[in-house]
Parts: sequence; structure tokens; C-alpha cells
Amino acid sequence: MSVIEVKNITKNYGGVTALNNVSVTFEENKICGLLGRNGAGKTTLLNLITGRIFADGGEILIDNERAAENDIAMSKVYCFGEQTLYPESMSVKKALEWTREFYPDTDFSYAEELADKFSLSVKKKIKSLSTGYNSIFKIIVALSCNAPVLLLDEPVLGLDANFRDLFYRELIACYSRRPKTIVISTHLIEEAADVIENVVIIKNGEIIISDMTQNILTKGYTVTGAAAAVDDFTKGQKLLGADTLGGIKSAYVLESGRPADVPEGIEVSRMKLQSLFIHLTNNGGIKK
Amino acid sequence: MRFKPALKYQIYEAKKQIIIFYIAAILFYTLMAISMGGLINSGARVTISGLEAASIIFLFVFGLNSHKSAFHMMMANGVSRKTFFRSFLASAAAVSIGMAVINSLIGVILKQFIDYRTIFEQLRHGYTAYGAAFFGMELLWQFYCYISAVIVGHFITTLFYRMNKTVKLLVSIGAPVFFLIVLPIIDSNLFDGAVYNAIGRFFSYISGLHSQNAPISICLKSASLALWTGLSYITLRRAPVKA
Repeated sequence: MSVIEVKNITKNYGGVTALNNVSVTFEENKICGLLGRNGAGKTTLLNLITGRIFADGGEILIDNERAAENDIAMSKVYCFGEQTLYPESMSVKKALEWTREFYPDTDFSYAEELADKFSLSVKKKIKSLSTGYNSIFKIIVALSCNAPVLLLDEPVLGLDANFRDLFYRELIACYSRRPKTIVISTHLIEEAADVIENVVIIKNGEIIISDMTQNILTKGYTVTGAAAAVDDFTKGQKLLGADTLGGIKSAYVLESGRPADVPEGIEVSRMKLQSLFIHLTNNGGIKK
Repeated sequence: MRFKPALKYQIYEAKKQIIIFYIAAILFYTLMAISMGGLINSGARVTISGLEAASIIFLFVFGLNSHKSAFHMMMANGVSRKTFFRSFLASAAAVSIGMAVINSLIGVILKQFIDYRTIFEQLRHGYTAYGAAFFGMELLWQFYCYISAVIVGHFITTLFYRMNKTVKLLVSIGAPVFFLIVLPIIDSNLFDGAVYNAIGRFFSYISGLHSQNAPISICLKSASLALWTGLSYITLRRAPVKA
């Protein structure tokens, strides 16, 4: 079992509230996308789960145990953070060896195999790695450590399209071999959309959506047609936003189900996760 | 469960620095022994000391460097602050015991070639003859000096780590200006040096150097060590990970 329960967490930085009474559960053995705009509070949430920073209120449980300052709970979690916390003068190989000390299930041969696939020389010092290779180094550590919970904060930062594709494939392969609870915080939503089963969307320090990806996608749809007809059709529905080009209007709707009767001249299409995210996290939010 | 790898890592980090220190120390004392040979042969009385003082300075600097890198490594690998601190204390104790033993052995070797005096011998601490009690107390005394140096260094670096940029800047500039310029001027003009004398006596007292009695000196060192250890942990226990 590897469930993370975040209960009423609040975190302030000076006068700024980064997280406001946030409660969310990351389910066992599910890949969850933690989505939010810059400064929404994603990294703060991940840092709180791993005890790198302290909350001003609330608690975080990992398998029903308080996570804060708890070695047993923390030994189940590996966090790929924005910051590289390994000593810069350490070589990649040495870093992997030390990871194995702390996470005894680390698969060293798999780590070497990944290094080979990502063309990373394990003899290199961490300080000599570029942004992309720094991400690759952290990906290799995260995927090979076999911790039951992986928190990945911007894992594809600086990676080219080929390596991003390789990362998603390896993530799925790693998960298939040994299912684990994975939380991916990313801005590249379309790329991650095929991988994530659950979605948590965070906006201005508050969780606005926490649901299965499939459920969310069935709720969001685009209504396109003549402006007056679209306005008429969407009256009373939860509108996320609208774009108008000439006389044609596209309205983005979030409802419990797609409408059965669609009048002529109106087209209803499924929204993509990224599009839904953009409209949900735009400053306007949901309008009725 | 995470204590063992944490301790192993802390020892690994210390090992390289200690090896470099001893290579430098052995080179220095070998050169001294060679260069003093001529003087001694000519009948001059030459006394050499300072290995313990050099060790204390080294361990203080080692303590100053002991926080950020190891703390980040522990945080990256899901080790609690409590376990990190426990492993730090254990490694500091191991390093201090090891260096006390090595320094005593080096002292014994150096005595075969030159007139080498340890700090403890110079302070005597009430001992009039060499013997097992003397060497045992000297080892203990060295251990306390070394571990105190590491922990004080760790406390200072952790305190600095927790400060924000403005406070760091204020302390970095303010403390030297106050203690090296402002206070000496006030002290010499208004108090005839009494303030600095009192500060000196205070530190000599709490460090156990003041007492001529070894057991009392050890007791004072224990109390002082407990204080610095407590302060160090209080500073660390809520430390966030910073860039």
C-alpha cells in the first residue's frame, strides 16, 4: 500500500499563501498528473510531502503514518525535485551507489541500462551535466530506486523530444514491471496526458479538480457554431471560456455529461486535457 | 533503519578531508623534524607542539562544512532531520575518537625524534607524572576538544544556512565590525580591556581550558558540549531545504 493523504495543508511564504487548506489523496499504484500554472503551488506541495519544507497547518500521511520527520514513511518516497540535492562533485555512478544505500531495492543494472539508453556516461560529475542531462540523471535515479512512491517535479525539463518520448516509455515500462504511486508535475500536459490516470489541478494554492482523467475529459466539451446559437445552447451551463472568430464562436463547457440533443449548426466536440486545463486555470475560471 | 547509511555517508564525506589533513600534518612534522635536527645537534633546545591545535582548527572548519551538502543529500534520500543529526553526532564522535587516538600515536612517534609536547602536557591539569591515567585523561580531553570544535562549527553553519540573505549580510559584515573594531574601541577607552578579558575568561572556562583539574575540565567540556549540541539540533530541526 502506498497512499499519500494530504489533509488541510496550508503553507505561507511571508504574506503569500502558497497552499490554502489543501486536501487531496494520491491513490495507491496510480499515475497522477499534478497540474497547475507557474506559482500555483505544485512544487510546494511536493516539497511538503517529502518534508523538505514545513507546513503551517494540516498534516500529510503516507500509508496512514505521519510523513513529517518519519524515516519509515519517507523511505517509501523518492522525490525528483527541481533542485539537484546530490553533491555536485559526485559522479553519476557514485550517486547511484549512494542511492542504493538509502533505497536498498535500487536496481543498479537497470540504472546502467537507462544511462546507456539516455547516452549518459555514469563517470561524469553531476556539476558537468547540462540541464537536460541533469534531468536524465534524476530520471535514472528515480526510475531505478524502486521506491513505492515517486514524486516527479518537471521530470522532462530540458529534454529534447526524443528523450521525452523515451522517458514516457520507460516510465510505463517501469510502472508495468512494478506498479507504484507516481505523481508527475508537468507543464507539458499533452505529452503526459496519455500516461496519467488521475489528474489533480491546482490553482492559486487550491485544488480545483481531483478526479480520474477519463472522468474529467468526459465532462469537458467544446460547443462551436454561430455565436447566437452557441450562446443559446450553452445558456445555464458551466462555461470555462469562449473564443470568437468572425461570427463563429467556440464555448468551452464543463458539465456532468455531454448533451444528447445537439441542434443543427452546432458542433460538440471533446476537449483535450491541455485545453481543459488552460480554460480551468485562466483567471476567469468557471462562469454560469 | 536510515541511520546506518546516513552514518556511512557522513563518514565517507569526512574521510577524504581527514586523509588530506594528516598527509599535510605528517609532511609538516617530518620537515620540522628534519630541519630541527641540525639545531638539536648544535645543542639548542627545541620544542614542537601544535598538532592538537591544528586538529581543533581543522575540525572546526570541518564542522563549518558539514551541513549543506550532507543535509541536502539526506533530504534527497528521504532521511529525517533527526536521523541526519544523530548520524552527524555519531560521525563527529567517531572522527574525534579516531583523531584523538591518531594524534596520541603521532605524539608518541614524534617524541622519539624531537621534543614534542601536547597541549594537555603543557596544561598538565594537575598531573605530575605520565601513566595510564594521564594518557587516558589526555585522550578524553582531546576527544572533547575535537567533538566540541565540530559541533560548534556545525551550529554556526546551520544557523547561517537558516538566515535569509539580508540577515546573512548583516551578520557577515556586522559581527566582524562589532567584535574587531567597535567593541575593542569601546572596551579599551571605557573599560580598560575588561570586556575582552571577561569574554576570554568565559570561553576559556566553558571550553575547560581554564581548569587545572582534568576531571573538572572534562565536566565543563561535557556541559558545554551538551549546550552546543542542543543549540545545533534546535537550529536544524525546522530547517527547510534551500537552494
